[in-house]
Amino acid sequence: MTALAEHSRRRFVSGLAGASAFTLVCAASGRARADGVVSIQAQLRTNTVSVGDAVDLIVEVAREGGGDDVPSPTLPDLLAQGFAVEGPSTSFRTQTSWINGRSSSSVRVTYVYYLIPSKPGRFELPITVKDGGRTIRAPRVPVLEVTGEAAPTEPATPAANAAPTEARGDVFLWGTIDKPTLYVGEQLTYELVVYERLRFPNIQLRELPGFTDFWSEELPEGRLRNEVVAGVGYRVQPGLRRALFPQRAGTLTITPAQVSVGLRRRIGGQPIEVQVLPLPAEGQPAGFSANNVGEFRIAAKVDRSKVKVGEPFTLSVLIKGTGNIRVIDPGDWPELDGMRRYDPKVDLQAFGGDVVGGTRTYEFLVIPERAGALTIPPHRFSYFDPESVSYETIETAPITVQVADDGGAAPAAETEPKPSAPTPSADDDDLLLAPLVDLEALPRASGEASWLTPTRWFWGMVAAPAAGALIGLAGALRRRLAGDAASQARASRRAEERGRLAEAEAALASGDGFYPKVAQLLQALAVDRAGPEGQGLPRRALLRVLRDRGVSEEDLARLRALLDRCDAARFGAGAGESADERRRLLDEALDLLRASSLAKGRWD
Amino acid sequence: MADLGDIRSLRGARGLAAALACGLALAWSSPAAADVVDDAYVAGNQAARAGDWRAAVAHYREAEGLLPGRSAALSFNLGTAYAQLGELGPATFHLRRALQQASEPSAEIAESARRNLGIVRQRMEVAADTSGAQVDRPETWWDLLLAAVKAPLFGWLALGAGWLGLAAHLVRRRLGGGAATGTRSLVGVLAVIFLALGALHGMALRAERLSPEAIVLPATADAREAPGAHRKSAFALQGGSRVRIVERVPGWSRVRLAGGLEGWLPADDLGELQRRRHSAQASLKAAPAIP
Repeated sequence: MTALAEHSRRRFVSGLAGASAFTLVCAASGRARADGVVSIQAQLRTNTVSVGDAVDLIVEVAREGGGDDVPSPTLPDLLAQGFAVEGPSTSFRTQTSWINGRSSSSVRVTYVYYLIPSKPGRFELPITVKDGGRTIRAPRVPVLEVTGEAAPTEPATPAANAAPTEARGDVFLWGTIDKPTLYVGEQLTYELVVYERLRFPNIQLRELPGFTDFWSEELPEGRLRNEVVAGVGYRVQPGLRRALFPQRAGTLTITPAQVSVGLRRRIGGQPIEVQVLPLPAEGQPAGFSANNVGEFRIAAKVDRSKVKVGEPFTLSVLIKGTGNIRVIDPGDWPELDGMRRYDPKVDLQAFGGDVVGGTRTYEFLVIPERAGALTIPPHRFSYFDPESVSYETIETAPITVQVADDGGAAPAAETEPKPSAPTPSADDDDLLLAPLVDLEALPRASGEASWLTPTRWFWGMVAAPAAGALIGLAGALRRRLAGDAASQARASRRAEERGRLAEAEAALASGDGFYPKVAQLLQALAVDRAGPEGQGLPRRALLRVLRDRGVSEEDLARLRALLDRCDAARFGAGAGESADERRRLLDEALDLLRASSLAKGRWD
Repeated sequence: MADLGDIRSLRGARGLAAALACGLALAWSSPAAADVVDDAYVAGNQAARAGDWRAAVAHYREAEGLLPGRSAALSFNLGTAYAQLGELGPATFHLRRALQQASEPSAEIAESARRNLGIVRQRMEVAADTSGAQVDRPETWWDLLLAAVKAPLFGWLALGAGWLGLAAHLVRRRLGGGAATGTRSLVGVLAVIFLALGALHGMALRAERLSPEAIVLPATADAREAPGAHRKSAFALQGGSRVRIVERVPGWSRVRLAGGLEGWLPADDLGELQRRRHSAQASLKAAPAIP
């Protein structure tokens, strides 16, 4: 016990020492890595550009001598100098070399910024990087010469559908709205186009206009057209068209879009301000939803007006019109007396034109719960019409459904008095759940699994034909190996002889039962040689048959002599023979058995 | 040596004491569990009589958790309570469990369970029609035939025909001659029964093992094109629909409707009918704590 504790303590101390050494090595290596040398290089891809053309500023920061934490470069205040900056895109490169048994590594990070100048001038761009407390400057300060005229500042709010009034170079963006002032939830159509004097094949929308606080729906694009702006002909290429639905009141701004022209040039549009008026409080229905702005109609229908109790039918409520149809609020559905209604399946068929709208269908599955003339009350829907600047409330017509109490009865007339309480019909009975099993103690299953499991069944099924096949195979083998009846009889006789010989051999020493066994052996030999005629004959007659069968007189004499000796010994005359004499008698009998005319044909 | 002998005798005494304790615990645990199961079952019945189906479900679930085996009455009550609550998935699951042979339903319980399953099925179809979700097709005579063929009786018939046929064949060979003529026809008939019933029963067992039957537990479940909640929804499945699980990955199962429609569902949304103990989390979530 003490030795075990001592061993554990040693292991703990050695582990602690190992961990401490590892930590120190790691700390030392980390410190060594932090000691690498940081350098910075900066250059422009081109030193002269025009206003609006993008230029690449490439900055490479490297750490030589180990370490993988490369600091980020610090750029001058480019925005203050009128640059729009995009990026950077970065790439990372490491290099490790092993020279004279010493390793050295370097890490280089390349930053590429895209600068778009907005005014002409000469701009110096000093780039630095900080490594710990040190500030490292790029050895060469990039200088950019920007030519051309400063980009004109656009008015924030153009007039509705205002076209440009002055030519703005060979290509420029222009955004328009169809109305400068509107109500919350009312549709505003925004269109962005590109004016180009030449065919610019590679104009890409880089930045979408900002539609914050608007619900936006795409509209079909406009068509390519030609326009003359201040005497200059332009090709007007359609950009995007959107139907916008302001979600709050106030001054909302659509921020400008930006497109790239070719690989290097970027041009931006102008911001647009929209005045959004709140919905008038006067005449506003209670619980009115601000999404219900536009012009709508409403209708309701059922797929069947005559049904049975419990037979479902479909009630469809359709709201059709112009406005933000996707988000309209149909309001609370009226209670249905004597009917059960499920949540609706909502479908929308939108119009395809410049004005957003469509048909919104609410399909309810309704199940009548009692017989009679049941009425679906009107459903009311309120909306604000910005054209007339007023709230409108529309409603569906009431629908009466005739409900029969069973399949055979005619539908109840509308004029019949409504029953005070629903009487359960045969259909109702059918819909009642069977009652629970209510006992004092829970009846349990015995839990005895069936003996016939799938595994047992499978092996039982396989075993039946397999056993049949095995039995058949064994029979076939037996038949094939056993041969004909004669050979079977020979084999049987041989087995009997072997048994008698073994018994006689065993009785040699003592003499008990020796002679009877030898006598039986010789008798069987004689009968076998005589064939069926020798069965059951006395000795004399048997010897005669043997003679007729061609047995020599000498062998017959030997047989008779041996049988006589056996008789004499069995009945007392030769009882005093020794074991040697018995051996000689047995040898003689064996000789007769195997090599005489008596044995002819027995061993074939 | 004397110390070693003491230690051995001490160990022997400890082992004996532990065995006695185990024996006593086993002897006492069964009646105690039985009492608790009965108490929970009776409490569930009382809550159901009072119309508090939510509490009834909670009590029945407690009894189900404590019961080591199966009970057709408990599964029937649980399924019916879920049906009263309008939770069609768990209702279908438990009512079908009540009808399984392992639950040993009485004739009355089986008839009631079939009736309630029919009503739940009607509600499922109405709900599926409303929501547009897919629902399994109603059971046909073919489904009933497959269910019958799966029963152990058919297995015994096939097995008995096989061995009886073998015995008759051996007798025929032994007797030989004119006596064999009669047994020859018998062997032929038994061989046909053995092959036909064995093939049908084997196929039914194989189908059950490879693609076990399950019930969709939530009100509706989105079947996705691949395992993962971020995958595109292929179609919606109505709660209570019967599906077969054809593939499993951790947390998800690919299911097939009878018509061949396939999709992936979270494994917790499925209740496997042949599972010995139901542990679907979805239905556990539905059951509130017992007040």
